[in-house]
Amino acid sequence: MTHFPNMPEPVPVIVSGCGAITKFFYASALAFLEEKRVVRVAAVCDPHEPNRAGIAARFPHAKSVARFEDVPFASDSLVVVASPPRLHATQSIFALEKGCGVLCEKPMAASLADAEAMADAANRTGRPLAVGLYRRFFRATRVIKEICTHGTLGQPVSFEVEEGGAFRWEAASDSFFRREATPGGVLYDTGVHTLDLLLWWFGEPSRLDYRDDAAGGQEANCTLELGYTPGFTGRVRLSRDWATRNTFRLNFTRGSIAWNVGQAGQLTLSLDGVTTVLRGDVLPRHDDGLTLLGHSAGEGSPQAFIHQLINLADAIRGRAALAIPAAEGLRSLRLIEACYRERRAMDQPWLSPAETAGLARLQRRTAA
Amino acid sequence: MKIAVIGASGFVGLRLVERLHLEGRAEVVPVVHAFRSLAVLARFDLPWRVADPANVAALTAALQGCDAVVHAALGDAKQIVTMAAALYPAAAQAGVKRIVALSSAAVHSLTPAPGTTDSTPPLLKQKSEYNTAKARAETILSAARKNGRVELVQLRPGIVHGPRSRLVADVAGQLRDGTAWLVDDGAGICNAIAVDNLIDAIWLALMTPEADGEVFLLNDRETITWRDFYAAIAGAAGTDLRDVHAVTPPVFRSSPSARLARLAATDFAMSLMPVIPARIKRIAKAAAAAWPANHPPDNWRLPDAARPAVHEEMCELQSCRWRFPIAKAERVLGYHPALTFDAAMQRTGAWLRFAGVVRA
Ligand SMILES: NC(=O)c1ccc[n+]([C@@H]2O[C@H](COP(=O)([O-])OP(=O)(O)OC[C@H]3O[C@@H](n4cnc5c(N)ncnc54)[C@H](O)[C@@H]3O)[C@@H](O)[C@H]2O)c1
Repeated sequence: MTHFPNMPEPVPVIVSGCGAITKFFYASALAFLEEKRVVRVAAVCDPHEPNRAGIAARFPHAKSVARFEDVPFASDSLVVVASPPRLHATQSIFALEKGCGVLCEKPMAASLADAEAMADAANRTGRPLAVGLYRRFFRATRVIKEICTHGTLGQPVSFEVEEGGAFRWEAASDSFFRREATPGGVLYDTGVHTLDLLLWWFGEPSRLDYRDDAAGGQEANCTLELGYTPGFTGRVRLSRDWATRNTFRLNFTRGSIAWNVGQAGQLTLSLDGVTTVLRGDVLPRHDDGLTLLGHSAGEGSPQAFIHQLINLADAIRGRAALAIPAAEGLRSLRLIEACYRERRAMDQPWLSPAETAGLARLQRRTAA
Repeated sequence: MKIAVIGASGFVGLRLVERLHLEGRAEVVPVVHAFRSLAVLARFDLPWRVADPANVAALTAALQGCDAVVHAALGDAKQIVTMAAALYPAAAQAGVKRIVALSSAAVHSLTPAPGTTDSTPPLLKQKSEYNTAKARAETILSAARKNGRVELVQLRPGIVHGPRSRLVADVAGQLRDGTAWLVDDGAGICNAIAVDNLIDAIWLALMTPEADGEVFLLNDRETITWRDFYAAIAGAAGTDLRDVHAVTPPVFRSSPSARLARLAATDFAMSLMPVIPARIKRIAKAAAAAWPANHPPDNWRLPDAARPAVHEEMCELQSCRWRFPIAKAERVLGYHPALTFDAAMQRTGAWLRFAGVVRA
């Protein structure tokens, strides 16, 4: 059961960016936490009036402002930065300097340098800066982290990750697809989550081979091979083009784990010496399976979003450490920038020779 | 030359954008209806525009500055008609000189009468709402051309196959899972056209002055049976036709909910995009939920082997006995399908592996 912090006063919340993530996730999570008196939405901000109006209607007591600079910041507010990535750094730093705590959506920033400036600002101001890597709040990903940390299944041997499918996110602007708003494609989008989990579980890789299909714009498909110093390797395939299996398959010396990206509270295990595979719910210890209560009901992305907000509200009041501080957000951006530096073209062997030549020309231009 | 492509994120539209841009043939302006549809197009640095293709004012703005427009957008039956109604006035107001609109061979129904040619009028009363809408859209555009100055060419391709074809990907999946099926041993005619041959035809339709006001049926150069079609996909997917189920078309019940439930019974039906539009797919899924299962739950069974889900539209398609002629396209457009069926399927196989539909 979730314990709701007994706050003397709800933490004021300011939401910057009223696009899809706010509409489909933050608005409901915040409404729930308002009911529990953990937070109270003080202002919503978005220069695009129709998007802002949709969110403002759900929080009629909140101020509705077009420009971030015009937001009435009270110190110790919680600022959700859910604007396009290119704006994350300026908005987060501005809010930290006003004495607020910040939950910045992923990708943390549009460059590693910007993200580092944000982390510096958090250090300088002493205010909490969390990054919206919400998958780390899933029961399944936490179990995997424990298995890796304690060597429960032995040492890692290899992994294969396939993630993505046709892009169906109801984006409320073109921010995902313009380089001025977001510097990369699928790797810079959902890839941030994928790489963050791999970094969290396995640490930093020592070598990589990265390929994608960008040709003057943003990649829709990419592949990444990662090598690790202990001697294991992993493969990642991401797509916003065509259905994949959406599965993480992690092999260890004494067994394997398969995790489906959409299942926050479930895992499949295969154990050495056991001829079948085990698939089931990840439950907290107090429900050791004997009562068959609890199940994974109530475990999904919505709960993860609620947990991230509670964690930051607690941190602002000095009651908890941040689960995902800025330093953690830097890791995936560092790896992504390394990928883009080493970028090579993905083979697309169904193209005609004339197209392949044109593709190579455009890719050279991207690199330059 | 600046060419707008409406429906630029679809199977044909996307391939057209790729070809025009990568081969450097023209400046391309992709037009899509929603931001999310930019995801794959955004690989290129192109001046895309987001507009509702059924809204004349929005579409007019999106077509500004373009010399020609290719209409390759799909929608449900209602949208197909409203998009056709908006296209001509928008193109005229934007000063576009020529429209190339993708109609469909389905305007002649899925079981066309022998003797059907380009000059056979579209069938305005069909069982399928989608085919009827395609027929109406064609008629609306032809009428608009009579009273307007924007040139118009309409193309009626058959079964379009190639990289990013849902139909091909789904058949490959069925062949892998042992649920693929053929009617009459696959003897029916599959009026197949490789997407790259279709793109060539679109280009010719854009460039050939005499094509104005004309309608063209389009096919690959070979006569292909459904068995050939499945065999080629099996080859591309590294398998064969050994496990394909032979199906005798059942008598389909004709109540609308029964039809919808059958549609929903299989994702395969859902993949026949030119045949079944998205809105119907959603309704069909809902209808399926209310449809009693074939076998009531019974503990005294072993799990069934994978079984094919047979549905009416595919049965009809596979019962086709008429190969659409392409003589007119050859004569007027100079259309000579460059890709052989085999070569086209090799390209498709390469894409199936790229996309992970088939594992190397
Ligand atoms: N956690 C996740 O898995 C997840 C999922 C989707 C999006 N996101 C992230 O959330 C952020 C927003 O994504 P989205 O899907 O809502 O995008 P979106 O394109 O739907 O919306 C972006 C919104 O930002 C607004 N905006 C533009 N300039 C602004 C400014 N100066 N100040 C405030 N708002 C401004 C736009 O008007 C628009 O309403 C991105 O960083 C994205 O990567 C995270």
